[in-house]
Amino acid sequence: MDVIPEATIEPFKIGDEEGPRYLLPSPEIYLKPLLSIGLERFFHIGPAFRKGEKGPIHSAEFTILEWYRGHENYTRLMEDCMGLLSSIFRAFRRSALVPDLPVLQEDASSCSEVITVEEAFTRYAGWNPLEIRNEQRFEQDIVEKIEPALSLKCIVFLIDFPCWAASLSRLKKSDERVSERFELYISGIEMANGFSELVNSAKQRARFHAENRQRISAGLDPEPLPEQFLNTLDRCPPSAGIAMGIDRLLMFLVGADSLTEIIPPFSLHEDLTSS
Amino acid sequence: MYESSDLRKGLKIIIDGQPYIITEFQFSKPGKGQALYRCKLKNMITGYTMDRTYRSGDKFEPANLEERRVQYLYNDAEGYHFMDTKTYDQITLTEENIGEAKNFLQDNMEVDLLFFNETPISINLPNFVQLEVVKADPGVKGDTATGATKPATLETGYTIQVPLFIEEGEILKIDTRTGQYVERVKG
Repeated sequence: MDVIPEATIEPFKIGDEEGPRYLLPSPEIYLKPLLSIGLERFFHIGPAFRKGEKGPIHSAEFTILEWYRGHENYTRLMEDCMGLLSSIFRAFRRSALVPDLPVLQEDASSCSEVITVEEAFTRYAGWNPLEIRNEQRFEQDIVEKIEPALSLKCIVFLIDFPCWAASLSRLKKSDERVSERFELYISGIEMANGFSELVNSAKQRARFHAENRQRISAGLDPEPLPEQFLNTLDRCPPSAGIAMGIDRLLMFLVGADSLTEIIPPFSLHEDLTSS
Repeated sequence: MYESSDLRKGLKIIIDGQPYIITEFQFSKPGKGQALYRCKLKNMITGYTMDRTYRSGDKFEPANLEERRVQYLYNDAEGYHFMDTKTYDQITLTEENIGEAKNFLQDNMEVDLLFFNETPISINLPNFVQLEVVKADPGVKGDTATGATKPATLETGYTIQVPLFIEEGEILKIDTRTGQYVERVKG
């Protein structure tokens, strides 16, 4: 099985004589190609594994929900998110098991907003990443300035990421400085990452090479390109796909402060495997 | 060398030639971005604290710190002299290195010295020491109910506040962390 070469996601390799195998870091590697055979709506929910991720909102093993829509773009995914959150909020309001979160008392749609990366950075970080390309400062300011500002809000769609932070997403036709990608934040915690899919194998191949160059400069081994995945891309219709962190959502819904309250401490947790 | 992924609370590393201990640690990773390792660090010599954010690929030199048990000998113009109880090497600390600890050092007392690259940087005293009162004014009778205190000078030259009933020649138990009187030790 292949993996998507990503500069910042480190898969667990479980290779043997038959060649490298990986614990799934994300299901897109086998899910997205289903678009090329004509499937239009499908999802996957299950465990995902990422090496070295450990913190209050990170875990080396977590539960991912990923879904795709053929012949749609990222706007439709944001509507999906609102539909999903509205019904979850309603269900949780009726449950006596969860603490009295004020946000759940509201209709999800009445406490959501959409803000572009350009607006958010200009307002909260004092610079515009569409004019200045600085990946390190961008990532650091997301954590230190944007996320704290968004933590005061309920549901926020942070949309239109700079084209250099696009990875597998399509550039916006009306403004090629940005990609049609969004992050869903609830109370400042990133819950989902969705985008209009890039369905051009030549462009995607160039981006994978760029990811591998970043891996090499960070001292990591480059990943072999997922040729089967690339082969299917040109046959996919314009589509959109999204991945959501289920444990983080649950953490928010039950008012927990850390994923350790949600995910039982077993298997790949570093403190167990390293001791 | 340590990698960023080795960073955790309590780890001791060298920054600009100085030993630092990580007092707070947080892993964060913005969507599709690089992992950020946010640390609060404390300089183990000066106590100065600072915030630093590190990334994958950053490398850190472990701080070479070693604790040795030593015996206090005496002090003079040069400083405070100790002897390593294993090797019998003599070690001298300046008054500045010693800091508040000078108030509690008694001849032959055993303490732990923390060394950074063979240089002593701090002294680790027992939590409690027993010191003799060498000077205390007589207490004023009739004022004992209010918990009033008076100054007393100990054998090390350190002056502290003690209850009015304390007299010269008595032995007191002192908390070295707060520098305060705990109780009178029955002689």
